[in-house]
Amino acid sequence: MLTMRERQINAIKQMLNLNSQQPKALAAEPVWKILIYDRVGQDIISPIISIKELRELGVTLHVQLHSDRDSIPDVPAIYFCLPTDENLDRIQQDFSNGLYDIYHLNFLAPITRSKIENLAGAALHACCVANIHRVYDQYVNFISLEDDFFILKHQQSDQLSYYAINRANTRDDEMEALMDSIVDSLFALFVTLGNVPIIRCPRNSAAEMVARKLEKKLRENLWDARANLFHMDATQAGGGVFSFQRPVLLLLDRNMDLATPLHHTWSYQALVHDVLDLGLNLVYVEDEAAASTGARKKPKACDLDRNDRFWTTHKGSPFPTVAEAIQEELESYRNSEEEIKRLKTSMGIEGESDIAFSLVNDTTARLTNAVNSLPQLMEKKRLIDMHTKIATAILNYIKARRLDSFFEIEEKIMSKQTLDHPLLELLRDAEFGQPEDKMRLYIIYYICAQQLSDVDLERLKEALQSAGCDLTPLAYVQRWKGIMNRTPSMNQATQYEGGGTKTVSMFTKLVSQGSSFVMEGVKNLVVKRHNLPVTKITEQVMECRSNTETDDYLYLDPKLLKGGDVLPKNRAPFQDAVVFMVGGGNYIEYQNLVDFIKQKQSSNVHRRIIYGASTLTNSRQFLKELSALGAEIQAPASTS
Amino acid sequence: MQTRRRYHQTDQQDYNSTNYQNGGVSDQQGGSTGLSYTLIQPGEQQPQHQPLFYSAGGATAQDQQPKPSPEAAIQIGAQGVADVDDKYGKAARQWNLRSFSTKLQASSGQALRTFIQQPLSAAAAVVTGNHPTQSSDNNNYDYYNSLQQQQQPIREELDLEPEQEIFIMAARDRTNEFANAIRSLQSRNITRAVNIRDPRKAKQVQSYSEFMNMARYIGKNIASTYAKLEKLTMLAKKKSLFDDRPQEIQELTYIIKGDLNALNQQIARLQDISKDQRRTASGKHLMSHSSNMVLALQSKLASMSTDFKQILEVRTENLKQQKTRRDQFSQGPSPLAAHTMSPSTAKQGSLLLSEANQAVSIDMGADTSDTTPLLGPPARLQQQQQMAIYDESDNYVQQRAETMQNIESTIVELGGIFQQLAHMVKEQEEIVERIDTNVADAELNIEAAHTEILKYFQSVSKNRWLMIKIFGVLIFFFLFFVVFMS
Repeated sequence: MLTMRERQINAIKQMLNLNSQQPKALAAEPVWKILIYDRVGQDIISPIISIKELRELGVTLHVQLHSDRDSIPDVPAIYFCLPTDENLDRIQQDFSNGLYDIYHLNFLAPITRSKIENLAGAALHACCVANIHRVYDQYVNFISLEDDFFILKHQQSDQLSYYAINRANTRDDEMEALMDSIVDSLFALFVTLGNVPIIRCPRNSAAEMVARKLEKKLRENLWDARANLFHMDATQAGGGVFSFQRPVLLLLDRNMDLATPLHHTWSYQALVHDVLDLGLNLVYVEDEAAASTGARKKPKACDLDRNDRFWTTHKGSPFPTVAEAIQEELESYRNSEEEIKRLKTSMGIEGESDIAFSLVNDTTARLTNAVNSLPQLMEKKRLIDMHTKIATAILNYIKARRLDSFFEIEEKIMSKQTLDHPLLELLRDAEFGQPEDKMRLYIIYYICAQQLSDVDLERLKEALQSAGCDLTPLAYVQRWKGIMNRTPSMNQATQYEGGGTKTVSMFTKLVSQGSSFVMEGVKNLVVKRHNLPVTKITEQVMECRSNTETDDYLYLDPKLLKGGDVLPKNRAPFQDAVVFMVGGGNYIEYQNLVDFIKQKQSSNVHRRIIYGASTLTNSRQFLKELSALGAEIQAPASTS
Repeated sequence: MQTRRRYHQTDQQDYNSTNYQNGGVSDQQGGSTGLSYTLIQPGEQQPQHQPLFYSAGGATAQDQQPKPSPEAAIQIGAQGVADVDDKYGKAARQWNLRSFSTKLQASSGQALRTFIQQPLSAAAAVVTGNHPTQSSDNNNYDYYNSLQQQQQPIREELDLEPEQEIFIMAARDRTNEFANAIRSLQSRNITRAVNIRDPRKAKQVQSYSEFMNMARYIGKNIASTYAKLEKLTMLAKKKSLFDDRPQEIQELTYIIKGDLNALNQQIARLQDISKDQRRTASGKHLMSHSSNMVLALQSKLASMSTDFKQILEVRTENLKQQKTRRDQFSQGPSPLAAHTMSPSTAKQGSLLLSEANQAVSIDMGADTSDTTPLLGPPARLQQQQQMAIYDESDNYVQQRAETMQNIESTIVELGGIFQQLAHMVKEQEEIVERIDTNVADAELNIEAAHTEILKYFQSVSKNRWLMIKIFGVLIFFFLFFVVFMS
């Protein structure tokens, strides 16, 4: 069964193959082509196809649409972009300049009739009608970062951010456009998956708007006999179980859980994202050597892709485990290096003596083996180096900002355990983390605590102010809490129970071996498994269990002729779910869902959850959005 | 006779040549002497006829019908034509040769089969060895293609009942093709018309199209070589002792080796062209496009030669294994065994001998017996047989050694190609990056440039103040002088 990412890769590869079936690799005659993309196209391609793979596909040149391009005759040019006016103007300009001999136009979103007419007019005018070979709508307008994780936008992602959705003074048409773009991308996702989902979502939220629009779009497409994009799925080979089992699309709103995106994390991938700005699986780590010599700091790009075995196994594990694993990898690498060295010396000896002549055959075989394994070894070394670098950078941050303590305290707050130190003391401690971290801690405390005396809160606020925190986010969070408390279904206080950590002594291999990771002073925290609110809701929806919280969720089935808003009484549990967070997701929730589904997996039932979000924000960005919202609240208050 | 009939249907030419031999045998000495003659003299002028000769003799012996051919004279002429004829004929003959031997295998016993196969393969090896393979050109491809085409019908006809296949060329709609051609020409003309405004650019475009054609040609060649390589892989991976086809494998190895060499040269030429282009300084994108193309072709060639090398290694390994297996079971022709004649071989030989003896004696009985040999026929035959075995095993060993040497030298040559490619490909290997890294770099550079510009702006603005001050002072002095001097 193909995962979402594999399906997307296949779709794009087919497009790069001039929209014809892919021939068998290598034996085919190569066709050279040029790839031209806009920013959106670039974001889509870059995490899933590397330049090397592009070369193998015959793409010799890849350029931005809006850059100066030279004419290259005789070679097909593949355009991969959104049909925006700006892009279409540029394409028309290319037509009139006669840049290429063969054009293949692939649009990321369906191009409207009028735009096609404009384009055709321009082509006629430029006398290059014969040159335009193909015009396609591609339904791949989403960015898959993992096999089961996608986001909608990377560059210019603030268009879809939490701030844009919850802004007080959004105009209706802006909101419409925003929702439409989300719906378009979700629609593309389901076309790629080849399946029509059943939609569930909470009422009275941004998610509901998206759900209604998506249902309408799906329904229109399903009942349009000519342009049905889903009729293939029943007969399509490889669909397997997935095509019979319809997935459930759970649309959630960020408003249901504000604490998680602000939470400090302890797993590798989430830490990389939180601390080091992971973007499109690419992280920039500053080289320490270069920094110390005073040269211009050139951050080194580390690509954390799917071929990295270490990354795929350890991205979800807690950080100390990762450090240990890196150490082990290093050991094994050193061992194999030693082996090769030994082989080299033994070859030298055997080569000189005549007796060894009969053994030469054997040693040649071994040597060939060694030579063959060398590239793999080099690759392994590269990966180990990369992870060492990333882990060291993270460790530095953890030490500097006491992230381990933050994580521990937050977990305790969320699981309602008693704190070792009163919060006030911690917030007053100047040594203890950055203002931003303190702010996050306070907001989480504020959200989770049930009864708070105003005096305590005032004192905490003072402490924060003296620590140099920007208090603007608080205004928004206060209002949000007020609203949430009024709706009975969203009882924040009970949602986070079952969490917690315990500290394990650091007498592991790590310290005793005196490794490069001196983890001294960093607590080795072992996370107790617990489900975040998102995961809990997902579980309930997938099992179709009756629950006060999820019962009044909207139930939309685009396949039914008349609006099937009624939840059917007996529904078999869903095997597949797509969880989509309107207004920004994060790696914490993704990891939690992955853990959840792993635990639910049994031999005969294969369940999958795809997690998606309109944007991917780390806590710093999210805090910034909150403060922007808070400033909006305060501004009219101060003027009036 | 059935064998010969089918044979006739497969290829007239070859039938002729065989028949010629056959006729020659029966004309000159009769079947028995014919047999011994072949065995004694392996190093003939035209060794490729030897197995035919032999097998024809064998067939004759079995059938007990040494038919003197009335067509002999005519067929000599035909033979001459066949010799003059190009490699095509040779190849076809070779295929027939093999099929002939399989037919024989089917008809005669196990012992006879192995006995026959060895000289057969030896002869075939010589054929391939003689075969001219200085292949810098296209000949090879054509040749190989014809060979492949040839192979299929022959096999079919041999395996099934002889049936004349008639190809009816039904009408085919080529309109689309034609329309496509017109379309592409049209579009090209238009763009050319746009492009060729100044003569320099026109020249550039011309050189570029030359480059493109060449690249396309190389791409095509690489694809076809890959097809051959696949065939070779299939052949080489067969482990069976009896279904071994050394001549095919050798042929293919030679061809592919030649192809690789040719491709390497062609790519080098392509690189030269692209360098020329670079000197004439066309657009940046065009340049990187062409250099990327060259790189891609090179990497393809490199991966192909790796595959080839691996296949050759597999083949060597297989040969080794076969040898050990052969030694185990038959203790047959290894250099030592040839001298000391292990008992089993001797026995086998004698068994064969008796069989052959019978046949021969009957043959002689059927023939005229007025020529009385010096020795008694059995005794003489025995001696000859021994010599023959010795010769043949020696020959076999030599041929094996040759094969090994061939493979070895091929590997060495490939190593050379590799080293040539290695550094060029290395550049490409490093590109594991993604399409957005350049953009990120560019952003960084832009930022750096921005800060530099800011710095410069600050220094300039500082200077501006200084300049204004100086200017003010100058004007002051000027006014001062104007006022006071006048």
